[in-house]
Amino acid sequence: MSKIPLSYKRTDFASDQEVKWCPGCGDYTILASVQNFMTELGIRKENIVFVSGIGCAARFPYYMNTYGLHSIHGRAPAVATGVSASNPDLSVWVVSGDGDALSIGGNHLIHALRRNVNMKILMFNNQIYGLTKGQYSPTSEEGKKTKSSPFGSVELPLNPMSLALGAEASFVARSIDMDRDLTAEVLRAASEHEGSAYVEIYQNCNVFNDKAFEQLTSKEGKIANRINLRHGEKVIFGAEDENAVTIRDGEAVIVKRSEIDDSEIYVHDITKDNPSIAFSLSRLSHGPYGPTPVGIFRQVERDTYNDEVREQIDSSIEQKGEGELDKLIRSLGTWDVS
Amino acid sequence: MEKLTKEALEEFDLPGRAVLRSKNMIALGLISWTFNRDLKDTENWINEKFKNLPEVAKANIKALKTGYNFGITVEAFHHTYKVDKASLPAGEYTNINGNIGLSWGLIAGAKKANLELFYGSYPITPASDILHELSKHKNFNVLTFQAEDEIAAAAAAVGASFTGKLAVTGTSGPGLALKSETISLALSAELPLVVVNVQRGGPSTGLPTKPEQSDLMFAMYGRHGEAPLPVIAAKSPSHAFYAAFEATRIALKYMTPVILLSDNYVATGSEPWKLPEIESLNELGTNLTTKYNTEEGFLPFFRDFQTNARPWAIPGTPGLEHRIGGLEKEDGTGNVSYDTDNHQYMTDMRAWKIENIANDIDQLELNGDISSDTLVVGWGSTYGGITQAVNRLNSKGIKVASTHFTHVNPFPDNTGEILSRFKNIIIPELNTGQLSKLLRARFLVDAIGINKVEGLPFTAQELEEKIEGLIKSFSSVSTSVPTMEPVIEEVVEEVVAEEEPAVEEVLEEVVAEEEPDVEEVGIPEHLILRSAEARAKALGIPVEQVLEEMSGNKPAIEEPVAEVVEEPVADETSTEEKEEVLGEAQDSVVERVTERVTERVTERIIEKVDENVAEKKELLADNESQTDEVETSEKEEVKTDE
Ligand SMILES: Cc1ncc(C[n+]2csc(CCOP(=O)(O)OP(=O)(O)O)c2C)c(N)n1
Ligand code: SF4
Ligand SMILES: [Mg+2]
Repeated sequence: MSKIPLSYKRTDFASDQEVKWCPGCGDYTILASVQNFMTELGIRKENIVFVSGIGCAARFPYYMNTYGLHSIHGRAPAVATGVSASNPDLSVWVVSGDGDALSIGGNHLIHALRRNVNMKILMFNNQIYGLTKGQYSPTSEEGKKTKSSPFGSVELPLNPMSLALGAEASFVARSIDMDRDLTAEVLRAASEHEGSAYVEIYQNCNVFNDKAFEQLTSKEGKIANRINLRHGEKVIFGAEDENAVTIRDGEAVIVKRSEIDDSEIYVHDITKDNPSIAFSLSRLSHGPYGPTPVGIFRQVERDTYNDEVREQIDSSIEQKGEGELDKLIRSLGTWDVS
Repeated sequence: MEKLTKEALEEFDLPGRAVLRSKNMIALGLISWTFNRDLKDTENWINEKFKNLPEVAKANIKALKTGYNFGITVEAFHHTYKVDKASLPAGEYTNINGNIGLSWGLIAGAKKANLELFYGSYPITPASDILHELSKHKNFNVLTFQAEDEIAAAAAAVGASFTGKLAVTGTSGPGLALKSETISLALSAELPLVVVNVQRGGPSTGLPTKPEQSDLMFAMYGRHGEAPLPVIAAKSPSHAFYAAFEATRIALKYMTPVILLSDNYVATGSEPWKLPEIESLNELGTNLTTKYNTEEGFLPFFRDFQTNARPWAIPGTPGLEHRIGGLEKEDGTGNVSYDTDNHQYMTDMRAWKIENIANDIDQLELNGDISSDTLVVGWGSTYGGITQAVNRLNSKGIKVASTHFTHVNPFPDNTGEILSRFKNIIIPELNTGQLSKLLRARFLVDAIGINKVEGLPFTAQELEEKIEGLIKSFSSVSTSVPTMEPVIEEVVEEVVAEEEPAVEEVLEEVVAEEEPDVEEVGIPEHLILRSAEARAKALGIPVEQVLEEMSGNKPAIEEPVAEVVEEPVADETSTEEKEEVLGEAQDSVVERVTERVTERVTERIIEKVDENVAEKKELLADNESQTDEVETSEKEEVKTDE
């Protein structure tokens, strides 16, 4: 869809509805980032649709002054598939929580990614069920004590990046609510990507799972543990850039820079057709603990569902002409009774 | 048969396997002889099929003729049959099955509404053929989406509907269960959606390839919350076309999900269909809008005054950006609302919106002998069987009528009146009595079911026998009467004397009834007030003005009692016309009174006679039973010992 310079202000994207998240919730920061980003998107707001499921995160569309559909728990990617396939000129955004996208809606998420439907999926991961007041989610860490797991969760959490890569996603990225610059950068790339873009945003739920991302957001953690992935750049991190990622036996590993030659440092390439390295990068951490990659893991070009579906319709019309009902009802042969 | 084939095709230069493949043609020839079918059509078909292989065509025709001649020569069977051409009204015909008819009906609906068609589905027998059929017709701007499951199929359809497509999702029983939550979303967000359910034997995986009508209750009530929606049922393969078209019309006009029921019998059975004039199909209106609907701007839940449908503003329309969802919405603005009054109002309004459709649909029609006491009521695929059975009974001189529902929710406006005309209501259904329950609950009629769930449709003969049996049982009292003739006469006199003062009473009763029930005719009063208030607020005008406007458009609302009789008189009607109208009204009252009195008297007579007969029988029985009792108690003792 064509992008045009538009003179929108951030407030143009704020609806008249009172925002009702808990004070201090990470969702506010993300909302501000998204509204800000929309001003530079270059798409008229009547052509933007926000679709969500159910959850705290899923309230998002009510606060955007665009078209919005707050659907049912887990089904947003499926609903958005209908929206996007029906009108390829729309800019379609899905907002979902970790429970919504990965638990009840896991099936729809993987199939939307596999089909490469043109939609941007923002998954606010707070590693908890916020709206239902604090049960563990499919991304909660093992041993997590919640109301529904008073003795600690015994379940292995999903790795949302690995899952998306395994589902053939053509765009996979991760950001953090507090990091507005990174969020804007990732959103920009996602919006320019043709097909489905999957963005996990670590989001602090200060009521039911406060400081879950502290290792990546505290003053020291931010510097020590964030591995910033940037296309075409060497992957190095740490206060003095003393750490690096290198590939050994096809696997990404973290090493001390002093231990290897600079030429051995992995240079990030998001365009690789084979997702193995991206997958390997996603395995550097299993959750926001210790060194954890953020940024774009993968961005490859692949035919979109929307284009291919349209193409079939268009070529069918070209070959057979616009359908005529008179012909249709006679297409199985007719006979006359006199 | 193998030998015969080989011999017949000796002269052809075909490999052995190819020769044996023509065995089916020998069989077809033999069958054609058995049923006295001319071979010409079949020959033409073979020639067409093997256009490029003339040698094969010749061999097949030879085999066909061999089989036919074999029948003649050896007189293989003692009887041959001649099936005469069905006598059909003149016109152009095609042969159609229900799944194809339904698919075409959807395409026609989309075309007549000037919309693109979106069909979301997950394969399931026997609904898959709709997906197959629709996916062929992309040049009609049909977009088919084979989803990952039925939830996604329905959800994508909801998305398509939000985007301004004619959205349809189709499935069979188990899939309908999965779609339930999504249908509620469409209902709450008031988005048009056609949900096709091709019923099969249930529960669970059940009998996937057999017909059953057991999802009626599920279609009616299978959603959480108060969630009424229109339900339409196809009654035959060709009717599936019209039923789909009608479902489309209602979904679009009233901004609601509609459940369209078919079943395995309709879906896979075929019949000759007299092709309609495409021009004769109505254009379908929608609630699409591109404009503000109030002074202040666009209100997504500001309803149409006649249909109570909300406007349909689709993404891409500048200025009408809005957000909707499944949370309760404030009427008018559509903003999330937890207000208790509002929820009551919205619940009532959603129900009323659907109920109100009853006067916008075809009314029930009667078939057969309408002077009879017995009405056979059907819905869906039992149509053919019931109609034939009733017609056969009529031609045997047995009085019975039938009627058939296409609209199961809401029932057509005249349903109560039609049912009240008959003493006995019989409802054949391929379930354990679901329509019976609905009609009993709604109209308090003592419906008697003919029910089966054997994975088979009713045959006309089966229904004929059962209906005849029931009719006999209804009149068994009067057949036992002859021996009691003197008693009857006596009773009649007695009752007539007794009932005389009742005539007046009945007269009053009937007059009172002639005054229509406000609840049934018009929109419930509290809904009028609320919606008038909302309208007044949105348009910035006084409530009184809105009310006036509304009563001008819906005259029956305010004072229905007076207006029903007076309305035609009020306008420039001549005195003659006036008298005619009044005369008609009086006539109808007189008729009803007579009817009612006769009914009452007859009832009393039967009652009394019954009493007399019963008394007599009791006397007789008393004598006999003494011996009986002894025997039974002995038997019982034996049983206890075991
Ligand atoms: C079918 C259904 N099941 C359960 C729920 C209750 N429910 C609402 S939101 C939610 C979980 C939300 O968690 P998440 O998706 O992580 O969103 P968050 O609130 O944390 O942003 C649940 C279980 C529901 N609304 N619908
Ligand atoms: S419960 Fe948590 S996620 Fe939900 S609004 Fe409150 S802080 Fe935010
Ligand atoms: Mg969550």
